[in-house]
Amino acid sequence: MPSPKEIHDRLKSQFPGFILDFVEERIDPYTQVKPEALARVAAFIKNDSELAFNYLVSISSLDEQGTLNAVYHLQSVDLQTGRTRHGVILKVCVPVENPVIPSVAHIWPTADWQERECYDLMGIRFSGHPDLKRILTEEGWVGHPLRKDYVFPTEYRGIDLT
Amino acid sequence: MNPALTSQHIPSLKEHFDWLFSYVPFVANHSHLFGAILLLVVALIVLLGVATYVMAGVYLERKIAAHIQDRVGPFRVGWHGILQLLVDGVKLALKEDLCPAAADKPLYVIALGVVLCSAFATFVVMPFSWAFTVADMDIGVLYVVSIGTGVLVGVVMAGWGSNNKWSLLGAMRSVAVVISYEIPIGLCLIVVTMLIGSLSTQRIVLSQAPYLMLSEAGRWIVNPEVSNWGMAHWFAFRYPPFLLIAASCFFVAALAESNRTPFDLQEAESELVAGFHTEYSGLRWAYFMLAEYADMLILSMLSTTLFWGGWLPLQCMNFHTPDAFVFWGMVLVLIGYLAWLWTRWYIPMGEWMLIFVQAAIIGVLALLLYFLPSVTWFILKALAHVFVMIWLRWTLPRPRIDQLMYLCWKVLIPIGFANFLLVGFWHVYFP
Amino acid sequence: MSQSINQVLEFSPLKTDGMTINMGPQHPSTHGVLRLIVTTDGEFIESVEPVVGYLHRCKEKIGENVTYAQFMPYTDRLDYLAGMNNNWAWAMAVEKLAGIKVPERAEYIRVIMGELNRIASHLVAIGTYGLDLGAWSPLVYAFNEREKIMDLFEKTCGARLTYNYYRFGGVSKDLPDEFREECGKLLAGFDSFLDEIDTLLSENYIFIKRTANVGVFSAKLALDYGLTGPNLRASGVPRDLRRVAPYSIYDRLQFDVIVGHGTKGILGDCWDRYDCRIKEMRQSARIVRQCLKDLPEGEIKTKLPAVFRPPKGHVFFAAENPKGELGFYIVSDGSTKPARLHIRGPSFHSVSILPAVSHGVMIADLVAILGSIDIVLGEVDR
Repeated sequence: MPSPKEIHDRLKSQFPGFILDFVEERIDPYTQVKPEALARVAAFIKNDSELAFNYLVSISSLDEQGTLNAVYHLQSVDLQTGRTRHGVILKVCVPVENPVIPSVAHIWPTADWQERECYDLMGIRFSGHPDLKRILTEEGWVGHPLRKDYVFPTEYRGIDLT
Repeated sequence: MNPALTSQHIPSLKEHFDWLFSYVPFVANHSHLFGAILLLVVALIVLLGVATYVMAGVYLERKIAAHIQDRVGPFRVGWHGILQLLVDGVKLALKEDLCPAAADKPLYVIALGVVLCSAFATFVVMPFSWAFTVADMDIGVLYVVSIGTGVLVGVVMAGWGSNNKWSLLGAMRSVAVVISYEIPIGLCLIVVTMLIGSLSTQRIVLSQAPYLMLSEAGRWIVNPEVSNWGMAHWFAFRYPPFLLIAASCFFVAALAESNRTPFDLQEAESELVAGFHTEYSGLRWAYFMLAEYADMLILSMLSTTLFWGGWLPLQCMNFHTPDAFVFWGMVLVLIGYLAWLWTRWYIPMGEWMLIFVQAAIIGVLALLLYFLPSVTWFILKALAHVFVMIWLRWTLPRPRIDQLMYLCWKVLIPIGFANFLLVGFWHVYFP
Repeated sequence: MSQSINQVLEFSPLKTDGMTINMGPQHPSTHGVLRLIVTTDGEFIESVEPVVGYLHRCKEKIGENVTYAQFMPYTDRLDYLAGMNNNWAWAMAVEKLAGIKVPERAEYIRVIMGELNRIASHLVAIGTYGLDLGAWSPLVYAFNEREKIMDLFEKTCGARLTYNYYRFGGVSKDLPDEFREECGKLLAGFDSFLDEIDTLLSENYIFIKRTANVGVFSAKLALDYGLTGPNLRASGVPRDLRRVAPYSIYDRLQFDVIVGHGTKGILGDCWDRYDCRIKEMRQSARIVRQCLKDLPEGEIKTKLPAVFRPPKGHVFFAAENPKGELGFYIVSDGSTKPARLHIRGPSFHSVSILPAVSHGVMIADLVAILGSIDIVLGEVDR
C-alpha cells in the first residue's frame, strides 16, 4: 500500500514540473498540483492499475490569503472487500482574480455536483464542466458566500435585512 | 331451478304501492301520480341512506385504520369520536370554495354532478329485501355496470378540468384501470347470469333460494317439497370451486373499479398528491369521497347479490344438509385462524376471559341475526365486503400501473374466461 | 395544453411532446424539500433533474464564525434523523485534530447512542418507504418502536431529535439509572417486531414486485457517484467504516457487515437497499446488547481547557452514519474557531445519482428509487 509520500513521488516522476513539493502536515499530508495539469493527473491516478483511485470522497474549497484552493480527498476502494487500499489528498491553488480549475467530472461523476457546490459557494470556475450552475443557493444569487470577503446582502427581494 | 322464477311474475315495488293505495279511494284514482311521488320519496330515502352509510363508512374507515395501526383514531369528539363525522361534514361545508383560476370552470363543476349521479343512479336496482327493490328492471345487472361506468366520465372531466398535470395523470390512470377491470367484472357477472338466464337482480337473489316460492296471494313462502339448503345454494358455494374463484375475481376487480388500495394509483398520495381530485377542496372533495364510498357500496351490493345470497339469511337449520357443511366449514376456518393467531402472539391468561366474552357476544348476535329482517342481512353482507376493502387498504402496498394492467389482462381475464367455460360445461353436461 | 384550431388542423406528422412535471418541493414523497424536474413521455421518464438547496442554511459559513463546541448543535440538524451520529462524527473529527483521548465508559455510551440512533433512522427509512409504496400501517408500527428509542434519548439528554449530547472527549451526561432496564425491554421485543415487518413488507408480494429489479445500481456506478453506507453495500461492496477503518471501540465489537445479495432480483436493486437497512437494524441491536453487557464504570468526559484551541493543521474524518459516510474536513489556524469547515454529506451524493438511473423508468419506479436511497435534505443542503 503506497503511502502518501510514495504516491507523491510517483506523481512527481510522471508529471515533472506540475507537482509542487510534498506538504508534511501532522495529520493528512497532501500533494499540491498545478491547476493546468489537474485533469491529466486525475485521469492518471484513476486509470493506473497500482493507484486506481476510484472513489472521490470530497472536494472542499478554501479561501486562503489571496488564493482559492480546492482540496481533493481521494481513496482507492477495493470493490471485493470494501477496504480502502490507500488514500491521497490533492490541493490545487488558483488566484482569486482568475479562479479557473479544470473539471474532473468526466473522470469521477460525483465531481459534477461537488464542483457545482464549489463554484456556487466559493466562486471557483471549473473549465470543461458539463453544466456549471449554482446548486445550493438560489438561481440569480449574487456573490459567493464562503469567501472571506463576502458581504452579506442588506435586502432580499425588497425585504430589509438589516 | 325454482320454476317460480321463470314463470311467475315477481311483484314490483309499484305493485306493492298499488295494493297499499287500494285502501284509500282518492289515492287509488290517481295511483300513477301518487305512485310516482312515493317512488321519488323512496329513492330519496335510499339516497339519504347511502349518505348516512358514507358518513358511517368514513368514520369506520378511520377507526379500523387506527386499530390496525395500533392507535385509537377519533376519540375526543363524542363517545369514541362518533360525532367526528358530523363535525367533519360541517368543517368541509365551511371551507372556502376554491376553483383554480385557469381551470375549465363548467367542466370542473359538472364533473362532480356526473360522478354523483352515476353513482347514485345504480342503487335503484339493488334488491334490498324480498319486497323492496326500487325498480327491479329486467336488465338490472347490465344497468348497474353501464351506469356505474358513468363515474369514469366524471373522473376524466375532473382530471382535465382541474388544469393540473398531476390530476390529468391520475384521471388517465383511472380510465385505463377502470375500463380494463370492467372486463373481469363482466365475465364474473356472465357466469352467474348464464346459470339463471336473467339479468334481473331480484331474480338472481331468488335463484339462490330454491326453497322459496310465491303463493297465489303474492307472498313468499317456503316450499315444503324442497329441503332447506340454505347457504349452500348461494352462488359462491355452487359448482365449487369455480364460482368461489369467480367471487374472488369479482372482489379484486371491484377493488380496482372503486379505486381502492391496493389499486388506488389514481389517487396515490405519495405520487400524485391526490390524483384527479387534487384541486377539489371543501364540500366538493366531500362529494368525491361520497362518490367513492358509494362506488364501494355498489360493488359490494352487486357482489352480495350475485354470489353471497343477497338478502337471504345465514341459515343453517338442518345439520344434515349440505348447507351445514358450508356453515361448519366457515366455522372451522375461523377456529383455525384463531389458533394460528394464538401461536403467533403470546396471549396472557387474563385475556382468555376477554376472548371468551367476545366470542359469547358474537354467538348471541349470531342467534339474534336469525330473527332479523332481510334488509339487514343484505346491508350486513354488503358492509362485510366494505370492511374487507377497508382492511385491505391499510394492509397492502400498491402495485405499479403496468403490474395492475398485467393482473387484469393476463390473470383475471383468463381466469374469468376459464371459469365461464368450465361452469358452462358443468352446468350443461352434469346438471 | 391548448392549441389554436389552425395548429390542430395543420397536416403535421404525428408527434408527441414530453410532459415536464414538477415533483416538489412540496410533495408527499420527496422526503423533504427536494424538487425533481421530471420530463416524461406518458408514464416513462426521459430525464430527471434534481434541484436542491431549499434547505441550505450555510452551515459551513456558520462554522467559521462559532467555536468548535458551539458548532455541535448545528451538526444535529444535518441529518436530523440521526443526530447522535452527526454529533459523534464532529466530535471525532475534532478529537483527531487535537489529539484528545476518550475514556472507556464514554466510548461505550457513544456506541450505544449511535447504534440506537441508527436503528431510529432506519425505522423512519423503512416506514416512509412503505408509505411511499402505499403500505400505510408499517409506518405507524416503525414509529411506535422509534418512540421507545426517543424516550430513552429524552431520559438521557433531554431531547428527542436534536441532542447536542456528545462533547470533545466524551459525552455530556451519564446514562440514567433506568436506562439499562428500558433499553433491555426495547431490545427484547425488537427482533419479533422486525419479523412482523418482514411479513408486512419484505416478503409481501406486491412490495417485492415494486422494488425488485427496480433502480439497479452496479457497484461501480454507486462508487462513481460517491454513494456510501447501505446504498453501496446493497450493491455488493462490503464497505462499512466501522469494519474497514474502525473508530471508537468497534474493533472489539462483534457484528456482521450487511451486504446485498440480489435475493429477490438483481444485485443492487431497491429491495436490496431496503433489506440492508432491515438487517442492519438487527446488527445494531446486537451491538447495543454487547455494549450494555460490557459497559464499564468510569469517567464520561476528558477534561479540556476552558478555551479550546486545537493546533494548526487540517483533518478529514469520516464516520459511518446511517445514511452513508459523513465526513468533516476541518482547517484550523490555531484559533478558537475553525478557519474552514466542509461537510461531506452522504445524502448529497445519493441524490446526485438520480439523473443517471432514471431514464426509461416509470414515475412509480422513481418514487421507489427515491425512497430506497434514503435521503434527508438536511444533509443534502446543509
